[in-house]
Amino acid sequence: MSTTDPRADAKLQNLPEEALQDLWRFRHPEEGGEKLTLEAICVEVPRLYGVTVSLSSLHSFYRWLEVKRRLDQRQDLANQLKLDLAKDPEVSEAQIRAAGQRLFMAEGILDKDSKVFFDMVKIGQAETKLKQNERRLKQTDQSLENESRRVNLLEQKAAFADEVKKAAENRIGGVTAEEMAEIERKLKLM
Amino acid sequence: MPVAILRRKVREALNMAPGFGKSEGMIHQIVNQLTGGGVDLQDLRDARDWNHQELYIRREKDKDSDEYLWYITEQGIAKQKI
Repeated sequence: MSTTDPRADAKLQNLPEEALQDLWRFRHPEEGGEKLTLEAICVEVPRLYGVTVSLSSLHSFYRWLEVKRRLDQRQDLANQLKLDLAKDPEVSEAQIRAAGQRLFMAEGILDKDSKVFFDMVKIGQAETKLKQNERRLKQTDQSLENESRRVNLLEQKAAFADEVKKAAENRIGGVTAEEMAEIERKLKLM
Repeated sequence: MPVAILRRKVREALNMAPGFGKSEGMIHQIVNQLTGGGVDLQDLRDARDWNHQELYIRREKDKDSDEYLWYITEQGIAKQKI
């Protein structure tokens, strides 16, 4: 078992979320509230949380708290986006995870509105779907063309066969075996 | 900046929103904000790689950006508590 006593700033960082909110409000009070100095907070912290801190630890802690709050906000937005995307059965687990990660890492306007990002993901998906449909339509066109050529050939074959039949009927003595073999060869070639 | 502090700051950065990966650029930005700025990128890489060797952090390749995203591990979270 380790006997190392946790560092004061580690103790502060691991305080419950509610305590972190209170400590934030000490420095960023709501309208009309009093902003406490770091010295005053240094006195309050041991009394409220049983942790003795130096001014420099407290200074580092507030830097940490500011960054943490910003990242928590991004995390909440990204999680919200993931929840929204999860409602769409066409979006896979991997796509949801990737979109959440992208939003988490995005800068600027996207920080503030996950809806914009959600729309972007959906637009991206719609574009992919359109391209897939276009490809499918092209394939269908190709199949129809092939089918039409096949029908055409069959019709030509049938017409030729009729022609040969008629010619044979009009001829005295019918068709010889050699002529029949030649006709069959021609039909196969068609 | 002392090496031990920089190593700790790397873990601190990754311990925020731990479910999401962070790129090298993002870690650099966060660590600069935590320390007041001026962190050398090579020093940061050394501190990050030390944490990686000690299994306090792990990485995953991001297919879209083709860069590594870094995450804190359970050991790393435990280390941050002391």
